[in-house]
Amino acid sequence: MSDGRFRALLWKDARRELRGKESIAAGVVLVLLFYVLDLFAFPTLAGAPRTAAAVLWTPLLYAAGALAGRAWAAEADRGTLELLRAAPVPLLSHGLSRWVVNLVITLALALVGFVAGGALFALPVTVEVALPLALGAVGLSILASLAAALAAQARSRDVLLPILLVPLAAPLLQAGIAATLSALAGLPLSEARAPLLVLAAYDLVALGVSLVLWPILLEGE
Amino acid sequence: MKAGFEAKARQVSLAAVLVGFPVLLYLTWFVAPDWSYQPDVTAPLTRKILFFHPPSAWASFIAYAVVFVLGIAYLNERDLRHDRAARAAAEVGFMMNSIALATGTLWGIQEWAKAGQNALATVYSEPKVLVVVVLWLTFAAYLLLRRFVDGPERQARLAAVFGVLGFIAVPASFLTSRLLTTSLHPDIAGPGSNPDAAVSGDVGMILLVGFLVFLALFVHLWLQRLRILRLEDETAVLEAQETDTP
Repeated sequence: MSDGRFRALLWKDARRELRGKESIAAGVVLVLLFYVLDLFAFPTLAGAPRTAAAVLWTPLLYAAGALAGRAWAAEADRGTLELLRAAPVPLLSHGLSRWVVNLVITLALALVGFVAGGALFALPVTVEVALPLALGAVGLSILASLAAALAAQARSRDVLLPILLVPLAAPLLQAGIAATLSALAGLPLSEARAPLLVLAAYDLVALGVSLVLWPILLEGE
Repeated sequence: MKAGFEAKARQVSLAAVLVGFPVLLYLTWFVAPDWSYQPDVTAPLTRKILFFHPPSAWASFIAYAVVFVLGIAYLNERDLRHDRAARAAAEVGFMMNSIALATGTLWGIQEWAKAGQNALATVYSEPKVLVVVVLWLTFAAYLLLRRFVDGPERQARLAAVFGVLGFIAVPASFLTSRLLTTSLHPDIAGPGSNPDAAVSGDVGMILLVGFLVFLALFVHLWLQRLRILRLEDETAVLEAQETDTP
């Protein structure tokens, strides 16, 4: 992979997101909508750590999927997937460039959720709560980008995307929620070492596998 | 797979199922311990599900491993026969997984649910039951993906990619549930298993018979489904040739 060509691709994908501002705006609104709905149901989350963990993780999962799906769907609708394949750039660079942009957006959404949780539900705004969300956002951005590229080549991709993403993200969610529960109980980071290691390991494995799968996923017939 | 070998394997696996299932039922009812005299056993009769639930779950894990290996083989060789075999394995694996889920649900409702609790919620909040649910969702997603993709080559390629991704997610989910959570579900094997729950003696022997019977059932149904899919493909080719003929 040539660094210059990868940087050019990354710049192209980043500029497209910044120019449209659709992804960030839609993602922030989507995350906040979840919180408004949660406010209808739970005036307080004091003494309900499991509900609090769900409040933190559910918007992140759905927003990561929806935004990754939107980017690939736009390529498929405009027919520019074929143009991408024809460009003299390795297919892996296209996948990685899209993932890096998704990663930044997903991390930003995790931050919005983290701050909203603190402001609306008085959840602790601590490193112990933030770290699992950040590690989860990394893994979710990888898996959501792959699932979105899969769904973009199928019919009814909007329905298909969450069906593909949720089983793949299950280990991340299990470990992330376990680490969040530990943080909400006021325990130090060392007490959540096992789930944090699982999160980091799954992120690395997903990234490694994605390096192999991107070229296959984006190749033409 | 050679046609002669495949036909032989179909016959042998069918014979194993026809002999093995009555033997498994006999062992379950007449040789397995009578748990009704043990005060700590809540539902002694339902406990007999032990000889059907783990074997069907293990068979579904093997089915997913077959899907993974055949997916890799397809991506290497781009031979649609590997994809057809992977699809057949996924369909039968989904069925095995559904059996594991149904039997596990029945068992969990009887053994774990307490008065005043929602029985289904108790069962499905169990981390180890959730692993089987994750596998069920993965099989469902794999089969749905195939339905939503047009063109055999594209369908095979995308299904193989998802098969590889799912194969990483399912063991990761299994390990996560073992390493991170306490559970009502007994760990009878694998990492983190509980020595008190480990099976031995007659129970272990019957469990092994159950596993072999469900393995034979998986192999037989897989090969039968593979045969049907091959015939469907051949029929489609013949129909296309007939349409092209003026």
